[in-house]
Amino acid sequence: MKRVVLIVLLMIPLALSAAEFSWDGMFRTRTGDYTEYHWYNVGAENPDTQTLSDYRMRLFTHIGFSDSLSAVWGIEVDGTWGDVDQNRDEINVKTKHLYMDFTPDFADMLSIRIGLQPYKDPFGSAIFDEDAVGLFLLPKFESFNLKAGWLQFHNQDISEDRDDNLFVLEGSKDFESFTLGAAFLYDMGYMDPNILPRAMHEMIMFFPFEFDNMWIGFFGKYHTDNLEAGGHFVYNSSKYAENFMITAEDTTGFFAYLYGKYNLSEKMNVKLHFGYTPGMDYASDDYTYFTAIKPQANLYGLEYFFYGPVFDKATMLNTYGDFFGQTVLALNINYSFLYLNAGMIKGNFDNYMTDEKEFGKEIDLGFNYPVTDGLTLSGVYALFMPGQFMEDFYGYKETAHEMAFKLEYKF
Amino acid sequence: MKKALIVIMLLIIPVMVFAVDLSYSGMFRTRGSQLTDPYLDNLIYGGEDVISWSDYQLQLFTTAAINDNLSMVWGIEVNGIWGDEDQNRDEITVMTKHLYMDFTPDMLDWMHIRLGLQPYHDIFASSIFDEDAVGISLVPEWDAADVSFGYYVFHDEELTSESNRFWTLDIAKNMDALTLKAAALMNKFYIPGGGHNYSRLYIGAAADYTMDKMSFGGHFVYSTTSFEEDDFNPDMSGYFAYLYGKMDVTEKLNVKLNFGYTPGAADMDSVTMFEGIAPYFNPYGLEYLFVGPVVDFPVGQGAILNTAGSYMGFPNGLMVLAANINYGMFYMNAGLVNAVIDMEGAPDFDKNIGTELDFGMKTQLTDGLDFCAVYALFMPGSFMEDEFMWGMGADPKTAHELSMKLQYNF
Repeated sequence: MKRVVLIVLLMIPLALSAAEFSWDGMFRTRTGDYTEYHWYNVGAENPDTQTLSDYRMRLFTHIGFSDSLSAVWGIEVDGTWGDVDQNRDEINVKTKHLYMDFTPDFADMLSIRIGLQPYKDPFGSAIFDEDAVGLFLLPKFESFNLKAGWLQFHNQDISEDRDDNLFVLEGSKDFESFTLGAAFLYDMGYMDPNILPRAMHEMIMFFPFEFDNMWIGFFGKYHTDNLEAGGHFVYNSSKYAENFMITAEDTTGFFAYLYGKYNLSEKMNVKLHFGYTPGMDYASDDYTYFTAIKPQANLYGLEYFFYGPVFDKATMLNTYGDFFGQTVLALNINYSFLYLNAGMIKGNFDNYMTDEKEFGKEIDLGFNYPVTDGLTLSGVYALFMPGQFMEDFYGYKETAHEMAFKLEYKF
Repeated sequence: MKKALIVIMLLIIPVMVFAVDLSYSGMFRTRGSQLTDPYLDNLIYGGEDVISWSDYQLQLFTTAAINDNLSMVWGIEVNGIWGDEDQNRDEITVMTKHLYMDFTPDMLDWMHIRLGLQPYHDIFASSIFDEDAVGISLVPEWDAADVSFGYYVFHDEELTSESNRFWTLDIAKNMDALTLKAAALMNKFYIPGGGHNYSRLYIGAAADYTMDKMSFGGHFVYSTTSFEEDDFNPDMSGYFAYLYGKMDVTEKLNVKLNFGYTPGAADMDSVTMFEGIAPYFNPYGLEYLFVGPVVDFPVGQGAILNTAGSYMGFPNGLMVLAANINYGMFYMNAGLVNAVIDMEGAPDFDKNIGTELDFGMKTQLTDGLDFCAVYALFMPGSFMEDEFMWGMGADPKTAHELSMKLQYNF
């Protein structure tokens, strides 16, 4: 009993603070030497290469006010070595997250998140994986998971007559070894023709004046002790009132993805991926391709062609679709701290400037090594061998490379 | 005895570990609003511009208490408007709001000094200054009254080619139910060759009297502005008189009445008007016309009035009569606003700017999380359609504001 009293007394200083603060985040430093990743440079006989290092810190402050109310403020500090004036005194503290989670007293089965928050779709970040301001409702059901949200990318009343809103509805059900879910995303927007230069921004790959984009799909995962398998299918439809690039045709597309992973031993596992998105037929009025808002394409683990897990600055393509479409077959083999990735990527377009569709093949040799508790050193050497499409289109077929290292601590 | 020592040691350890005692306070809020864009042309010529927007703000104040005589405060603020630029992600929006040191010198233990970027607001309903600025404030310990002196530098001519400085003296005396206050504020502005260099003095007094179910009070502040002789500007003076009375009718119901007056007149030799420096002005509680308690500065042209006096580009004052009625979580505000203008040679014209009605509510969604909502209607008066003032096309219509705010203070 006396010990209990002692413990209670020791907790007094904590209890005096009404708001509880906790922190998490990461710190990393990376360096990379790589063939400059623009397609007209990849495969050239004397390509441009780049060598650079960067650093990043993310610090998330969690403020717990009560069981029903908390807030998160996340900051990010980025810098590239040797960028400006010794990198000293840079004003580079960015707000990454700033949101509040609360449960109203009169609706205790409903959690609400409001503010600048992260969202990523359940289709391998094929559509959206970023931070944005908005509101998410997370009702608590015993039998299944549900979330509904609204994210506001642009408000025409304050953002140069540009409007863009994403609405999200996601549901999933967990069984013992099986998870099944579905999601619906609806993105509607408008853009004043007077600010068309901004339409080429990477955020929207294909930006007409008025658009309604819709994605609907399902995903599933099955796992046993040594085996995991899953995938998704997502269909998209886009309707345009006007269009500045091609005629204002409505478009459709889809992204189908399957994977299987097997643990051969405690140290070794193998994962196989297959992904497919259709491409356009340039000789017809068939506008079939998969479109996205702000994807983070790294389902396949390939370092150079896609958004690399070690060094994402060297990325040939950060999307699973676009006008050309893709067929990707990829393999990841992990042995203890070593890994090997291999992949083959081809397009699915028709009647373009060449009949050849093979973008190329990639092989990555890498490692993830724990330097000390929590601190991981990752390294990769990636080779990308351009395919016949690259040779026919750009006239080059030399192997491109990326060698990169990353030192990262997460807390 | 040993056990008692152990307990004391264990209790002291957390305090000993941190030589600097850090504590935090602040607020977090999200707001949303739809309103008739409150810029003058929109209100006078049809009010067709309606804007909808949301925003968020975090204020986090870290206080580092080093010892009884020394502490520091660093306050940051993060602001963002939903849908402004690239999804609001990775915006560089962390601002320093406060950064000051409080200390008491050992050789002068009756003097408290605050040095650095700090807040100051005047005692005249923030009609002159309510903002943050760098400077020094001195607060001597004096039994007879509370006194503070301040000196703030808005602009330094050696850095920004203009000089703008501010001196303050505040005195307050509490006598049970009665509080008396007085203040003298001095603002000196100078730009070489600017043609508008002046020294402005504000001097006034305020009083509040509180009883069980009733309180009333008010203030009177006079301002006078002296321009440099070479600039040939007319002399300027003005005042702001404000009175209020509040009564708790029942436990749930209370009523407050406000009356404010500032003059406005001009002739060849002098100008009569009241002008603040950086006011944050809404003693009347009116949501749309003044700096609203739910949404203070909307996107667009800002609140239509953030001043007790001038706002239309020529010398004018305001006469405001406003009532605030609170019942439980609900409230209603009603206000009548007239312009006070006496321009030499101008014809007589209607001076009713308009009437406002607000219906609002304040409640807690969960412990400490306040939710406010208001629907405000502003009905422009005859002044807004006066042909002499605005020409033939004036066609004011009722403006509205529907706003909500979710806020937690910690």
